[in-house]
Amino acid sequence: MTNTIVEVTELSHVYMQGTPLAHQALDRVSIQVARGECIAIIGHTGSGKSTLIQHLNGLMRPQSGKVVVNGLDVSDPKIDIRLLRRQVGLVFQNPEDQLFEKLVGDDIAYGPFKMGLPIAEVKERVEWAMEIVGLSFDEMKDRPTFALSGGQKRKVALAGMLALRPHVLVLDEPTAGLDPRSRNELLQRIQKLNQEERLTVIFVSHNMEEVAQLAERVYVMANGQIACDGTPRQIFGNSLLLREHHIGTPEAVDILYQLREHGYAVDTGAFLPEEAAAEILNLIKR
Amino acid sequence: MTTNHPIIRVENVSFSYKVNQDQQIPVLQNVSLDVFPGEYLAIIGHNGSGKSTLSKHLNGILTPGTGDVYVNDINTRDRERIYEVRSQVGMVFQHPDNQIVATIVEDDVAFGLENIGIAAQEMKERIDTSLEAVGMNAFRHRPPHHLSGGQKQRIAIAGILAMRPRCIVLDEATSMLDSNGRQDILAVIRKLHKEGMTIVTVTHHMSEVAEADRVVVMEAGQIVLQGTPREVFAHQERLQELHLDVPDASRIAALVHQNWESFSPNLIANEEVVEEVQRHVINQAEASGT
Repeated sequence: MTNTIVEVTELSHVYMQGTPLAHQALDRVSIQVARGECIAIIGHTGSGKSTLIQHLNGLMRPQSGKVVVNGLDVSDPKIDIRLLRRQVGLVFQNPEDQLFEKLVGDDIAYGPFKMGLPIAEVKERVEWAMEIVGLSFDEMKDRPTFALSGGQKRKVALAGMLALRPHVLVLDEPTAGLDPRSRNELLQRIQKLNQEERLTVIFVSHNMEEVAQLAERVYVMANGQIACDGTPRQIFGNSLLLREHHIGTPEAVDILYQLREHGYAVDTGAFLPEEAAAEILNLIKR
Repeated sequence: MTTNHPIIRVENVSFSYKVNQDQQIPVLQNVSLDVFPGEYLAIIGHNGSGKSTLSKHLNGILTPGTGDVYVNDINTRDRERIYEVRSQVGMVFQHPDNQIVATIVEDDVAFGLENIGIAAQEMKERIDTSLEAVGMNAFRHRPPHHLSGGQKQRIAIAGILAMRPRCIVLDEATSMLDSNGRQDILAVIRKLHKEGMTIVTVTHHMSEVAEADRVVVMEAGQIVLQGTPREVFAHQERLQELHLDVPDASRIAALVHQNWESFSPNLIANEEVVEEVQRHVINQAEASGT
């Protein structure tokens, strides 16, 4: 009956437990993600976002509470961890640190190759993944990874993960360090994967424009707990919430809040530039 | 020396990464650029356009394939004077964790000073003023790995300030930070610039670019556009061709302008949009009511 692909129930984690430096990173966190959803996790530095997502592919095991992904129980010591990691692709915040092959194409092919796929399919997947992240296969496959720019390395790392064709894609700051066009293209491609192939996407982001553009639903974390969840419109329209949890606003929303402080009646939930422009037109047309 | 004498002169610089014996990837092609004292310069360009490579030439981390870079008239090829070059032009990198070396904040700030043999009393003074300048004095006895990304970047800036440089180069120094961390760094940069520090920043955040005095746009290893932020952001289509963008404030202003001609399309900051709205609403009220 269930359409839930990721279910986290009452998950807690204490770093350096039993020492004077013990730090409660997660405190009874529960989240539910439906198959095909696109979820953002936001929150101040140190709020527990990274600790949470590291549980999703079994990099961390629950100290208490439960994490079930696509029917696989992460707290089960006998879990097939390789199966879990093929289903859940986790791309770290500095994925360029994860590159280790000399050539771009080899690096992306590494995962599918290790899965024992026939060479023709490996090649097909590499081409497909490079296309998704916006790297030209012919031009880039034989480039040495050391001569890439920071943003290009990021794309290579993401392509390497996509080539495993995971069911759930977990991204930590997917577009940090990308130029505006690459950022938009990558967001559009992730959105396309999400919508057309029903790939479930969970991403952590500090970039509120990105959250506004991509997420269907947002979890706000604070002090190791889920402070609230809602649509981007609900979250960005709530200035008290944003201030309380030190969350930045998309630039469009910032302009609308400034206008509201000056006494103008505007809908501060209008987070896209087009919507903000429409709100402003309403004001000056009166 | 007049005040208009550039701090940094980049003259006809080309640079390639060598892949193997017979293949090279050109990154910079005949770039020339002067950086003037007290200037706030932003360098933008898409991933792989050469902007980071250019910034690494500004204090001799990289030296040109052909052409020359002078810092205060010292050629960066002169390896005997490289410490002079680096004490004049300090660099902050993208990843906070990669530039912290010590286990206590004040030791980290002292690191560069120890290397150039500064006396203990002066070292203490310099550490005090540098930490003060970035607002991190309260953290001086803390271990840096417990700090947030933004705080680590401020420590990195303090370490550079302690060397008493004339220019700070930031290579995407805010791109890994959350919005609070970014605002903290921008506030520090603004203050330093106001006090006369020369700032060169490489960034993808167009709203940061809007604060600079001058913008240089890179494409395929060349400078293809430059001017004030307002001049550069007026070329919205050209910027999009170059994989760049304008701040959301500019985009919103342009959208309103399409439907309401008297609304200025040429705005670059959120505050300017708010002011422009106020100006219109007041004009409307005067025209219709009183």
